Amino acid sequence: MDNDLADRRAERGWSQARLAEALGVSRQTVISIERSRFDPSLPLAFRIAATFGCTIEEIFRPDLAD
Amino acid sequence: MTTTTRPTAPPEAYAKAALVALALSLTAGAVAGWVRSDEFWLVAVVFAVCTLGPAIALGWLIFVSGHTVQPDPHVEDSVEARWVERACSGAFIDLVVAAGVALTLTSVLDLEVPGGLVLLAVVAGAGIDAVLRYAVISRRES
Repeated sequence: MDNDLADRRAERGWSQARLAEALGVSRQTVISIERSRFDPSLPLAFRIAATFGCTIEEIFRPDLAD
Repeated sequence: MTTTTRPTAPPEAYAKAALVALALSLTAGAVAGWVRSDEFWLVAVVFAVCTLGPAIALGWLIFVSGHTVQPDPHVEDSVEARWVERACSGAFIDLVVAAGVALTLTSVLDLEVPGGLVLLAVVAGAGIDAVLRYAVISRRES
C-alpha cells in the first residue's frame, strides 16, 4: 500500500524515532511503512491518521499494481 | 540528569520463583537418577544442574515477570511481530514437510532412528529454521 507518511513526517520535522515513539511502535516499523514494505494494522493506521490529524485514506492509497 | 527506576517484584515473588526452580530441578534430578539405577547421585546431580537454568526461568516467568515486565500494548502492531509470526509459521510448515520426508525415508529404508536424536533434530531444526527465516525476512523487508 502506497503512502505519504515520510512527507508528512518531514513537514513536521520529526525523525522516524520521534514518530515511532508517538505511535508506540518500533522505528523499524515506521521505516517499513514509509517504504511501503509493511501494511499497518487497522488500529495502527488509525493512530497514524490521528497523529497527523487526517483520515486514513488521505495517507494510504491502495497500490493498484497489486 | 534523569534516572529511571526499574520495577521490582516483592521479595516473596523471588522466593517463590527460587523454591519452584529448586523443586523442579531436584525432582528432575531425582527422577533421572531413579530411572538409571547405577550411579544415582552422579546422574541426579548432573540432571539437577542441567535443569536448574530452565527451572529458574520458569519460576521467574510465573512469579516475577508479572511484576517487573510491563507488557507493550502495541507490540502486535510492530513489523517485527509480523516477521516473527511469518518466520514461525514458515518454520512449522518446513518442520511438517521435513518430518514427512524423514518418515518416508526411514520407512522405505527400514531405518531405526533413536527417539532422542529425532527430538533433538526437531527442536534444533525448528529453532534454526525460524531464526534463519526471520533473518532473511528482516533483511529483505527492512
